[in-house]
Amino acid sequence: MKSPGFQLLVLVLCSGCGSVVSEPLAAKRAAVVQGEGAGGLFVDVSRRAGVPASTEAWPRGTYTLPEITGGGVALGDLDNDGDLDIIQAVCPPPGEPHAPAPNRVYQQDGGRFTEVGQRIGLADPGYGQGIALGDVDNDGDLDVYFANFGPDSFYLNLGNGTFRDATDELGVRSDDWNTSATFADFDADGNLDLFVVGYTHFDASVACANSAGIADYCGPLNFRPSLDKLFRNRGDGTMVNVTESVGITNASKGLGVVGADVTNDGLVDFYVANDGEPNQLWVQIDGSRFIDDSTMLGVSTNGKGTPEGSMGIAIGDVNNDFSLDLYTTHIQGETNTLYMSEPMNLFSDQTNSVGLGMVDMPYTGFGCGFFDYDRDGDLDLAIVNGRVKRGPLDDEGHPGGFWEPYEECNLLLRNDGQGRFHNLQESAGEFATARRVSRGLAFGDIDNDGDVDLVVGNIGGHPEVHFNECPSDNHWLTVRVLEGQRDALGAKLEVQSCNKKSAHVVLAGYSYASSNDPRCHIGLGECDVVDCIDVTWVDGSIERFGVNQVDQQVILRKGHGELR
Amino acid sequence: MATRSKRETLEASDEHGPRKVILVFTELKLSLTLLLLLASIPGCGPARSAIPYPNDVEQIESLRVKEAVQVAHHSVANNLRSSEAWGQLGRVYAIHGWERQAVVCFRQARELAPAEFCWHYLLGRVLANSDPAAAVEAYSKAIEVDSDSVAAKFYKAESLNQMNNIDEARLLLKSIIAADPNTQLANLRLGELELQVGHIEAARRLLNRALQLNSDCSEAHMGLARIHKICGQDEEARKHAALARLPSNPQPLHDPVWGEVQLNGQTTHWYAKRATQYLKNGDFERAIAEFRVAVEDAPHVASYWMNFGAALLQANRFAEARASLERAAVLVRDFSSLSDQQQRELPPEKRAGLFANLGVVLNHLGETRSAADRFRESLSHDQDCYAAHLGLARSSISAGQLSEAQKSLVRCQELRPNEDITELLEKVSSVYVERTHDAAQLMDFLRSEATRSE
Repeated sequence: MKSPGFQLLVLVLCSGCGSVVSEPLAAKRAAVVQGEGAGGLFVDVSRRAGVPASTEAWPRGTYTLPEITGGGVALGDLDNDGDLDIIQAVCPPPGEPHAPAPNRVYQQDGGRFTEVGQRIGLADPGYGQGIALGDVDNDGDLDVYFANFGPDSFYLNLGNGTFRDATDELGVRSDDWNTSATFADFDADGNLDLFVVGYTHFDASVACANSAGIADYCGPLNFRPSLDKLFRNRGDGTMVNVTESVGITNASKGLGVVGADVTNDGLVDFYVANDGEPNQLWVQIDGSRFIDDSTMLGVSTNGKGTPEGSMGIAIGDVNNDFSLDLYTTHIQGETNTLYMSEPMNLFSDQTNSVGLGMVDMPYTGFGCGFFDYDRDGDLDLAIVNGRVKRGPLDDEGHPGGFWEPYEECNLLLRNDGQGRFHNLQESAGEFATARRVSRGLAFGDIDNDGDVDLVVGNIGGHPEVHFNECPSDNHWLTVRVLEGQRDALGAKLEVQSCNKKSAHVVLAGYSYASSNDPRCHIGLGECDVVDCIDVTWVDGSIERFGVNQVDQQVILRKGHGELR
Repeated sequence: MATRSKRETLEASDEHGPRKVILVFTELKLSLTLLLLLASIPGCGPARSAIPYPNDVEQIESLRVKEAVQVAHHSVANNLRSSEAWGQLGRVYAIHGWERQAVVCFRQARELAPAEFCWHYLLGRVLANSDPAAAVEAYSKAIEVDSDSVAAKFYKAESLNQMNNIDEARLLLKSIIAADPNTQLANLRLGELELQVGHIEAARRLLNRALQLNSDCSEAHMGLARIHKICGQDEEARKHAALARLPSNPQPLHDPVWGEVQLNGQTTHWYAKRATQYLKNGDFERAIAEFRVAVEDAPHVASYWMNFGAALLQANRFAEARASLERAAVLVRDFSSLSDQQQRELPPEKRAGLFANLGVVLNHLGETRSAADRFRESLSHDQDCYAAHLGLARSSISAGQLSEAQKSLVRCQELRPNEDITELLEKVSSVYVERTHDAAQLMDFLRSEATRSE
């Protein structure tokens, strides 16, 4: 709801903030796509938007661990046409581990998606697990890294809507079982580097069973850990493996990763969610060295000092204290854990005190993320679930297929702004009520209407697209932050509006095995002005930008703001 | 199939829709019929159709698990008013992961016998992961029955903490420590909670106490790392942080009621786990009985054979120990073909221990030459294996090879300077003692030889 005289008011305030006015972007609005099903805060529009139903027949599992860990999804504007496209990492059918499993690419055009993976050369046939998007050669288009069970692949965007496999050329060959990856400019040289998460050294000869002796998927404890990899960008997109030389030496069993300045010292750190072992926080010391400070800082285990089965990671300033908080999803029987930042860069497990924990303990969580679904100015939380161990069958004796005991509902949790989260499972629509074995979860404004939509990756199915239909008059601002031609991953935003400040980070890599819309989606509540936005770039420089109108998308370009 | 002929699976309907109901025993006797009729009258007790039965029991390959379920299920069906029967079925369900069904059984058991501590307590345990509030209620009733139960108080505190009722959790933990200051888990958990509420000094004291009680407690190091960091003592914090990443082994609570549940575990895993515990506790005959099942189930697992052999050796059953240890040795010698997990379970020191034990057994069987070979094989895995050096010394003495015995005994002394080798020699080297009449004299000789050779 825009108020009359709005623009004048904004200009006055921006003038008071002494900033350079940001560049508005005419966002390409998607055509209205009607949802399917009963409605709710999120509406599944998949089929009507051209994405096939996610309930295709999928063979029985063979209790081979990689077949239950994959399923990453990504949202990014691959063809630079102003709207988000979808990529899905695809696993081969159970029992056919060597069969080609072409990843799927759904190109959006005005709200309709068309599968174009083969046509644009991005249908990587590997055993898909995770996806990372980033512009490694600074040419203004998104390149794509696929983390696979087996050889990973790196595809360069040729700028004409097509891609080519440049894995060897870019020097990122990794044949391990990798689950997630993320781009971040850790050395602040203006080029995106790559962090790849290794899981385990899988041994197919190991057979496992559940507590009752019924065959089931093995857990990570059955396998040796794998080392993560850090590749430094030489400046032309080619990479050199610097893992051990920067001190990343301890192998673990990683599933999720975030690259961001977690310790507030201006340097990019990497937080890795490990399965059944302590998480790692690779804190950058001096631009050339990392140490794992997770235990010191309180983010390696839960508050009881117990390592958990960590899968996905959410990151954001949950309590508006200008420090990033972390959240990890876990296996059923463990709570997901919220690590709230505290003074001295410490974190404490505040899961129970904010109303989380009990609500998610019955589920096995994977993809997750903080986002302001109702644009009220505080971060809510979405989590997708799906067991890795057979769950109890229904007492009513549903016939069920192989996968039914692994299916679970997802979760949407609302932050009430008073430090508590509330379960919206019943009102969240099919996103939270349908039972699936979900893994990937990507966040982004798919229809460019100012709110954040969701894409879910399920095992054995096509991605699901859930449009945000939350009835809200709250104001918003979508901010694209660019360094050169690419999204300035890692840049930090301080937004001043109506005597309030909020902190945001430009990030694509979070959740589980997924890549997200890097634009900052800022909920403003009833406030209809943004005084200014201070951007702290990865190199430490700070610029201030003014915003002359809310409820729109703006671009902030490095070098175009008022230097602070 | 015989079992199946005695059971029927019927489809029944109730207000919640079709329900798979297991009815047991086609040969119903009059007395049972009357009992069931009485039991199914509202207010007269549980209806037979309400006996839970997991849908996936038929998928179980292990006959033992199936049988345990069926026996316990039949027992309930035979005596619907027996709290013990319901509780036993609950135990079987709980230990095999059928928690929802276990909840139903323990609820029924406690309704039938509200004065029994164990049903309230076990209900709390199986509810803890799904419904902490209900678990708290169950633990509270358990504590009403037995106000001294440390386990019930501790787990009630755990559930309260999950519900963010930290103050009440702290009070309970304090009451445990007041009754027994040596309860390590209570010290640990209270220390963590004190840290959470900002009582730094209290937290420091409790966590240090937890470490005094058991130094293998990563969780206590984790808390202390945080405390030192908060206090600006980064170096100390870093030391504790490093220790916090080591495997943890906190002292378990004394919990015989849950221990009884574990006795019902019928999978190979449970047999091996119980056997290992019996072996550690010196209860060798029970260890042997449990390991026997484990090795029959999983003959490819080297560690089962190895520990089975160790238990047999301890029980002086040398011939059987030899067979078991040799089986393990065959598997271990083909180490690269073992799974990753097995390889990790058998680090060099454990492999060395296997061959040392085999050497000891062969010595007992009078095969001293073969024994010496096994001791050498042991040392090829771990040069610091004390038992192998000692065994080799013994074999060498028996063979009259004093020079080799001397080397081995010197190494024993280096590895364990406080070990009284003279006394050990008296026990194991009767042949030599007969020859020299004085083991101490032998040691003096060996030491002087060792000094000379250095």
